[in-house]
Amino acid sequence: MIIYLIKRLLSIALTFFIVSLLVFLMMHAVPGGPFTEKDMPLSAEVKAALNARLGLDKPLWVQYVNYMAGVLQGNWGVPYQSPGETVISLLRQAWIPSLILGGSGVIIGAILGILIGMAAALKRNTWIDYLASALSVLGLTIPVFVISMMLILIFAVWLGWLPASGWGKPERWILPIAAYAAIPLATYARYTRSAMLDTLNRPFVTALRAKGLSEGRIIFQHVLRNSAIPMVTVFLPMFIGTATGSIFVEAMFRIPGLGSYFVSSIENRDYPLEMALVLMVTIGICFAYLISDIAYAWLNPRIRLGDDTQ
Amino acid sequence: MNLVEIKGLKVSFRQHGGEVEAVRGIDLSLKDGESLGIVGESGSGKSVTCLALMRLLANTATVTADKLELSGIDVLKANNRKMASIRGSSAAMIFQDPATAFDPVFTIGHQMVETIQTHRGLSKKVAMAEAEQLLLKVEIKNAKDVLAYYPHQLSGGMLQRAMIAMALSCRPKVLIADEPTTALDVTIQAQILQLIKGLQAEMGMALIMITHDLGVIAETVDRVVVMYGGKVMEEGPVEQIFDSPKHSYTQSLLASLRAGETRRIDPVAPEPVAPALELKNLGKIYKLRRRGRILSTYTDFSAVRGVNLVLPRNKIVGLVGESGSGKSTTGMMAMRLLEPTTGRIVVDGADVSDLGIEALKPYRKSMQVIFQDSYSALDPMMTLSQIIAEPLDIHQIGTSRERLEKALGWLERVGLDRNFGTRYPHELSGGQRQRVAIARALILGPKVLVADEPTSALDVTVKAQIIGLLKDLQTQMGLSMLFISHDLSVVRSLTDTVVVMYKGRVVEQAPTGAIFANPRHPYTRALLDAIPVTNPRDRRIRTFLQQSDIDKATPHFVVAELPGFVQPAPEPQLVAVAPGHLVEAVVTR
Amino acid sequence: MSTQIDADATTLAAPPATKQRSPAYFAWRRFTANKAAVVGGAVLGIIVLMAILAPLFTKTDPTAQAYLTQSLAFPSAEFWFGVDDLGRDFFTRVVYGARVSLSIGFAAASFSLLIGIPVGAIAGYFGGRIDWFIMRVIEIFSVVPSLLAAMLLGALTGGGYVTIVIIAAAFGWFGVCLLVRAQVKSFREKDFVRSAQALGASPWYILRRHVIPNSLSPIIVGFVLAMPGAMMLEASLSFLGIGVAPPTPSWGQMINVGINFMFFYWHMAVFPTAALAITVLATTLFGDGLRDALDPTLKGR
Repeated sequence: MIIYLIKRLLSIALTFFIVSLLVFLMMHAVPGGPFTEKDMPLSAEVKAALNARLGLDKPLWVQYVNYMAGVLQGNWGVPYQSPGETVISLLRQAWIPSLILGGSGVIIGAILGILIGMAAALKRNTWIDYLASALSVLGLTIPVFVISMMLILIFAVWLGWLPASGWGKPERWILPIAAYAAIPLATYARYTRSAMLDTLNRPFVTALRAKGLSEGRIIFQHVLRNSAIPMVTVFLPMFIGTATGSIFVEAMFRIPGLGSYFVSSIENRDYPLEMALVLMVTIGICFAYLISDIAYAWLNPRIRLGDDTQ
Repeated sequence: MNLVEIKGLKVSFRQHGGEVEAVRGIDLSLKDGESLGIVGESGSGKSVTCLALMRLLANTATVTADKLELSGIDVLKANNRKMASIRGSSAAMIFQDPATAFDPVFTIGHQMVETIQTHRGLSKKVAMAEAEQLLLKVEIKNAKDVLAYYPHQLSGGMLQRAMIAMALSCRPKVLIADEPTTALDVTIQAQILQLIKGLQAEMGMALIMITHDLGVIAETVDRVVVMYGGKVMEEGPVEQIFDSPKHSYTQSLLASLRAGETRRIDPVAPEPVAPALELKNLGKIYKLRRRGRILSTYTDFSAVRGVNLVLPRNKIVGLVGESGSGKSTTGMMAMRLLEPTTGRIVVDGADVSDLGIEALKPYRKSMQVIFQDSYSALDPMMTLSQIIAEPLDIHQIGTSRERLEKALGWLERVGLDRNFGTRYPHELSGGQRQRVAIARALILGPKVLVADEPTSALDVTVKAQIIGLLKDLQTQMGLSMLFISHDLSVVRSLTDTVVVMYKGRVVEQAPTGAIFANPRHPYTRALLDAIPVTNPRDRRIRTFLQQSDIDKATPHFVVAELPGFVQPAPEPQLVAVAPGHLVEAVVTR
Repeated sequence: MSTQIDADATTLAAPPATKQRSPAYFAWRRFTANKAAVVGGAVLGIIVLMAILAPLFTKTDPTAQAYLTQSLAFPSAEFWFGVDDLGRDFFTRVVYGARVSLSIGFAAASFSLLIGIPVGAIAGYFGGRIDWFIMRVIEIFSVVPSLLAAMLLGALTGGGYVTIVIIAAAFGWFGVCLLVRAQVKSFREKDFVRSAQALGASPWYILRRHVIPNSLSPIIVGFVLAMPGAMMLEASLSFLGIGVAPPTPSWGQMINVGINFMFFYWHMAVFPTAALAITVLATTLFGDGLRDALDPTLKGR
């Protein structure tokens, strides 16, 4: 198990390195830096001086090594768009709305999704099942910004129950949380249902019934535990979906979170900020990967015991 | 009062808008301590009947009965709690495949304890001790360790023992065994049957043995119910069923069981020409990857080691062994479908071991193969005539019209109607698909046919028909056949010579008659002992050799005992003990 | 031939005398039994027809500012979906938006097949190190969030139709690749392939006669299911202003503009949102239905 963890950590570190390198190269491969925009006409000398001060005149690999060395020491650079601050100080406040809204959205969505999925599997081919299927298809196919738009149109524009956008009072949180919850809810409703149905059809469930166990014990102990194994594997795609979705949710609801900084950093070609955000997302995804792997191994005795030789 | 009382039971399943009747009105009863066998092929309704008795059918099933009682409780009317309390305690079940009947994420101990606690309200500690006792009772020696094992850490035979122990944990009045040995190896099957029989007598339980195998019935039960198409065909004491079956279906079942007893008479003719197939020192080594702490290490695993085998012209040689013995690997190598690590393959006097795909192609016409799983052996996107004609296409024989005509001719030759030509494989039954596979293999008129367990996926009566077909075609076409099987009773009726493989080696080889009359190697004896009797009067207590016993019991000879000249060696070698009878033995001076 | 065998063929073994039915017939029956898929397919068909025949039932060019005086007019008998802020008939724009969305979906899915089929076939057929390498590449691709990467690329290159197709294909191929790989792998194990080898068939013959016909269904399914992803990507990028350039009508872009007007001119937000949702939903339902119909082993998932 410990060996397994070390292996996973190493492979995650490798992924992180490859992604950071790719993103770094990609951003620099395109001609033009932050000061070639039409709205920033600068003389050649000033530009050269600025480039030199920001280290943009050195070879690419030197820039990458310098940057990564800084990252490891907690120095994530200075955002071009507000040179008075560091990337870290700029993002310090941005964390909060993203975490509160995204976190509660994921938790609420996942719990509801699992419950709906279980209900659908246990009451197969009833209206509950059909409703769950409809919800999960909608949630998984329609882009987050379209869902956000629908929520705003219905609850803010037509019914006028809730404010459409902004950050601050808790009543402003409800719609973004609902938008955030859409992906986890749909994902978990769908996969819980299919995992439970799969498990319910396995012969050992009949064997458990034949032993005289109560239905509750069979469902909540045996079936749920077995279904959890395929269910943890969708944690990662769900996490990625939510992380990406935050950009759109925050843009739609005009929330000053990480997602909105991402959009502005892209618009302004603000390399340090952009790089920092991409790296953060990558780290987040890598840890989500690790968590889902650990959960998978922990739930599955074959892997936990290391018997899975082949 | 009867323990089980079934009257007019009907079960049907809703399926794609239609109703499929699985059980069509059967009556059944069982007294305390009685042992009842229900025999029939797949789809006969035998399992469904017992699942209905336990009310374990899916909710797509509609169950009606005039009477359906288990130890005096009306199964159709009892509430869920009542049902749960009699399951496991009044009637316990064991299933066909123990590997899927245990929950994979909990230990054996946990699953046994939860059963004991549910019904008997013991403390966890007491229940655990009880579980250990039960495991000892089913002859699991390291019971304490096994309690902490997860199901995937045990072999099929051990798991089935644990399953039996768990079923016994609440002292059921009746044990329902649903094909308890079908998924196990031959030698293990006999041990499990003997265990069930012994425990039943010891604990005074009633037993319902559900099986497709009349041999199992002959071994274990007192009374038999024969089912076919959801109806009871015949019922009676086991001797009566075996001695004077009334119903024609029972007769055909018995005929297929006893087909094994009538042996071919082998004309012992000298063999002047080259044999049809010769394998010389054939070996296959797989690299096994073992995950180490940091690096993976590779170990060699010899699936087949130095097999020498001669398939004379116009003869059938049986290749016998349990799963993992290397018999199928040998067959696939003989067909050049798997590259051997060492050794030569000689077909009809020509060494084909090193030929490339193109050079091999002409020889392919004279060597063909039939597989076990007829479903995967036929391309689902092609019609039967296309499938049968494909060998002609590949070898560019005849015009397309001639090919079609020949394919349709073969369809008739294997006993199917010409108008089947436009059908697709999924429309056929298993037996019919195997017929098509045979036609396809034989259309080129091969000299050598390798049949890899061609009948083991089939129902008993169908099995006998396919064996009959192969036998007829072999005589008509003068085929030489290598028949790979784990089923000794089939081998007995069909083959001229039997080759027994064990752990990748040939351990014994002899004319069929000699091997059944006078087996010399302990493994061969174990295999023969495991064959179920074909008559209930022949039941006997058997002793079983453990694997370590087999290794220890390798025959020893002194040079002087053996005919001909044999070099003594510390390693076991194949020696001739009689003309044509080879056995693996250690030879000392 | 013994009489016993003949008897078997006619009694025990004979299937009910029905018409010959090909696997395609059964697939079609399974498909039509799935109402959601049939509706999805029908809706998708209508949308495709509307996109192709757009000029026949719209009155102006989608970029023509023909109704400047009636800018932001609400839906009416004359302007079914109203008029947008720049005086263009909104119905026309939404219909032409389907062209952009569908053509990007189609092109991206085609490119995904172009990459995914050979790579998947190579991985599945050869296995070993090549397979290991391809699987690691796919693993990295599946960890990188496609939308984020697309946004970066889109921002860096300034977006545009071709860029979007390339990005969508770059993140769509591995879905097809995995499907094809799984199929090819399962066929290597199938006895009918081994039996063809035993007959002396060349690898090329086996590929042509057995593997490709049997792989058609996952390829079709992969194609249909790659489309909604690409359409969503296009809409998302256009929504952020780094997708298809402005005068060309794109639903994502219209939604972006629509947000600013939604409190007063709701039609600007509602119609493109609905059009995108319906199209993506219909394509997904159709694709799911196809998958269930063509591969009965996946049923019930």
